[in-house]
Amino acid sequence: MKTNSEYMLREIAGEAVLIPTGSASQQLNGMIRLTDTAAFIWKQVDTAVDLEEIVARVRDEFDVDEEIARRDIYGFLHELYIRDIVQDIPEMDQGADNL
Amino acid sequence: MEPLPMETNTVEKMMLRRAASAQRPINGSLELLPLCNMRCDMCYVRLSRSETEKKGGLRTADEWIRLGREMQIAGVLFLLLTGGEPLLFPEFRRLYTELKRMGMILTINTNGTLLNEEWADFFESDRPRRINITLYGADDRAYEELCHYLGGFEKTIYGIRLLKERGIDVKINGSVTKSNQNDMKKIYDIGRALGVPVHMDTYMLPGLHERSLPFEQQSRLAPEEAAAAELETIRSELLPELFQEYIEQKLMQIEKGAPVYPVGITCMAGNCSFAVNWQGEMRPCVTLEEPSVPVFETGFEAAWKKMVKEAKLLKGSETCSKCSLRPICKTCVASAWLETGAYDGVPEYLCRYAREYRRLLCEAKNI
Repeated sequence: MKTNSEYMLREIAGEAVLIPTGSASQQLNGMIRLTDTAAFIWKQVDTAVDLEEIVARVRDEFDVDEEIARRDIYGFLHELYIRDIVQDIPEMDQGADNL
Repeated sequence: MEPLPMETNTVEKMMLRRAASAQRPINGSLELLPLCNMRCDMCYVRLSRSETEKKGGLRTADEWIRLGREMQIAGVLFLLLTGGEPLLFPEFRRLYTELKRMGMILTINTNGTLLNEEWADFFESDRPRRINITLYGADDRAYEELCHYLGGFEKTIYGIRLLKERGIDVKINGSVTKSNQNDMKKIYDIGRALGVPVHMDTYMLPGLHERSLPFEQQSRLAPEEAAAAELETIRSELLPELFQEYIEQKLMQIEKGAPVYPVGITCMAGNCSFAVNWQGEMRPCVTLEEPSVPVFETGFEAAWKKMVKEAKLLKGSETCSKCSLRPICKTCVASAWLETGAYDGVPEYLCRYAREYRRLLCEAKNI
């Protein structure tokens, strides 16, 4: 599981934004604004072993019910995965319908 | 009432406002060089190679890249690369690619005449946010007369087509002068035919060598003509129903009696925005020549802080800040300085412009 290295997370004026660079800019011209939670999840992708570890880390950081955290994390990362913004997530390769 | 397109509240604008309130730099303009392949009559930047060398020569790509890293740390996000003609900057592609890798959102101002397949492929492979192309007229005659560059029009149109074919965002910018006034409609038609948005500036600052001349002898339009041209540009750029809404909003702003405007700088300049000229002088905007801090020697963060502090000392006119026409007037400390020689001067050109603009708004409302 990894983030696409052509997307850079920047924190500007209190906002977390993902900026596409290189060939990623052909797909998206502009930036993606992330909420604080989304930015936290993004930062976990390159170091977590799997999605369940991200769920655990989010629950350590935020006061959130496990099922809601799992649904939101899988949903958010699925949106990024189908756009190739995050890559190599085995759980996603098995098909989003199973999530 | 729904906000008009030019008044919409985007994430970008919200970020700009937040940065301004924190007095942090988020937006900058880098004038990479004063060299250009055209020689436009009204240009106030262009120098020849020998003149450039005499003034110390260009900064290198490595110097700009180092500055880019400092800007990245300081939180700069939006950069405009301009000149002169930026595509003539040595190692432009390396600089561009490095700035993109730093997570900068880049816009380029170019005359478009140098664009070819190779340039278009380069921009397709790593897209800028937008390429702004200045159109100086609607045919090669205008380019020959105004820019002393034969074939410039055809080359520019070719360049725009190459970019559009590759899905790169392009915008046509223009300035209305006495010599191209009659081309305005044609320029909008060209934009429509190419599928490219057009924006024409109708207020031009007084030219470097024309400031002591009466308005009638300057190359820019007379203030009343410029006001009429502005309303025409708004009409061309908005849908008819939005145009009526625009008129009503503007008249309402005047009628309501504007709040007293601050006498200092009222825009982003020196609040969240800066300009660095080709010699490396950081200033609040491209027009103001002071405060001016040598950014390569001072370092970006220290230069920003110094420039912001000194920019607060610039005060505009008290008379203008209380004027009922202030909501539609283009005066600012920079324009007042160029128009009158004093930051707190009351520019006659802009007073006449604003009075005529109000009259035209009233006229347009009654149609």
